[in-house]
Amino acid sequence: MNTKGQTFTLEGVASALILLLALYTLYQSSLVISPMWSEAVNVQTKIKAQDTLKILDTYEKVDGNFYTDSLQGMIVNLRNCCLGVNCEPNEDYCTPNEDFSYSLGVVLGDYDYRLELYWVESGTVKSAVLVDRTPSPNAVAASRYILLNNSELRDSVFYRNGVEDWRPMIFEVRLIVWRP
Amino acid sequence: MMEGGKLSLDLLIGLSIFLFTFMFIASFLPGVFADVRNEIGLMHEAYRLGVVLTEMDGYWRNSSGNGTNWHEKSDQWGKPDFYFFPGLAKGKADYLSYEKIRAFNNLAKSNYDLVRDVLGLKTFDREYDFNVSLESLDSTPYSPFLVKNRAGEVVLQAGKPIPSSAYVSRYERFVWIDPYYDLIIQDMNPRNLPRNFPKECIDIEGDVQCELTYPIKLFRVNVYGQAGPAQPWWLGICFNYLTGSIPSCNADPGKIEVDFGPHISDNPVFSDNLVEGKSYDLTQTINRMLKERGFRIGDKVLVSFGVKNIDATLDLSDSVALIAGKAAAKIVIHVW
Repeated sequence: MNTKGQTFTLEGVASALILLLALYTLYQSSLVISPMWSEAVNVQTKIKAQDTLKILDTYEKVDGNFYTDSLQGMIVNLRNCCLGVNCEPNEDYCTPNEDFSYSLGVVLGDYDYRLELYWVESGTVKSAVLVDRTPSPNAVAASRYILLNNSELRDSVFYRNGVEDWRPMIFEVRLIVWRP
Repeated sequence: MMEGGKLSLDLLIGLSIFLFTFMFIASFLPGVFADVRNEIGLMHEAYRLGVVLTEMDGYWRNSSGNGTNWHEKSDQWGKPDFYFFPGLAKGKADYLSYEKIRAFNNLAKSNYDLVRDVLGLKTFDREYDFNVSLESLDSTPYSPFLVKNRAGEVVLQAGKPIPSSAYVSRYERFVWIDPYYDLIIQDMNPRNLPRNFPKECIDIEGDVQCELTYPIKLFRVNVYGQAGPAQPWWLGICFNYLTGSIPSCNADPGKIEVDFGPHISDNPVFSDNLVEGKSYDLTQTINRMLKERGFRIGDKVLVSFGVKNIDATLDLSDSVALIAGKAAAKIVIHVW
């Protein structure tokens, strides 16, 4: 039998065409999420987190007190509580005051958040989680530095006995934001 | 049989299909990302516009001088020797000037193309349209809530109407506005001024009743002191459902009290001593009280004031929220 000039692999050709058709259908119907696109969305979330901290950062005082819903007011009102370092089980963990939580919720709206505080004590960086929620993988972080002197921290858990009133203490408030 | 130098048909067909597929994918792949690339480009422009408006003070320059108060040079806008850049900030990022916002609104309404030009949205090879608005923090694309001033005018909505069928990039910036006096309604018993109630309120023989919308963004009472030597003084603030009534709202002497119902009960939701010169921000207290009573976003609530010998004002807003002493809202930018 002369087999030259014949195609033996009709199945092969057919499968190649089917594969091509499937590929074409896939590209036509699927949404392509490129890394750049998700990056752009993350930028919007990050900017919102930074804007939120800027709004809450108010050094202005009324009757000698910080606004309770400002970052400064939140820090100085962390009183009679434990910062999560060597806390006993029956101790109250430090959490932001109600006014601060309310205002933060008003600004962030649908976004979920986690709030952390960092400061330097005796030469070492210490931290506490004030609002402990688990971020999603697409969460972004923003931070703001707050400077308060020892007299402004009176009655708070950060007050240092025997230290001059003017001695400053720097806090980093870290806000981690994500869409639930 | 000599078979060298011959091509089989299988090879030809296989090679053709392979090359065809290769060319198809090579030409098709860039098209797959074209839409995404277009959207990324728009987001970039929207982001840039957001930075220009909310982080820059703006400037003006001509042969006689320069400065950042471009908003006060409206008679010069558009003149060939007058160069300006309409930033809305007031010395630092997100801190916006009310006057600059209003000037930008007027400028974009009167000369849209000029604004596009100075903001870099109209170049020799590309043109973008834009829409910028000042909205409440809880405003959404599906239910936008524009900030209005005490005269009831929309503070900022500039640019073209947003198209429903096009790639539109949206960007938001949280900001605070200074001064915010024009964004709130001051009411009650302003000193030496005629009573100036918001349109939601009616005056029934000296008693004021208003219809407000939940959640209330700003409700702050500023107490200046007693009105004359008369005694006693108090301020009662009563809320009720629209179907209910508030026949009287008298508080205890020397007190400011808030409650829900037809009158102030023996155990009000909020009670404090009246102190001269003190401000009472009741926004959160009232919203919490209304939420506990089943109010949902957008519901109307009746409020009545029992005012006795008191010199006080009420800061009231249904659009700007007072956050850490700042009147906060958001600038929403659309570019397409």
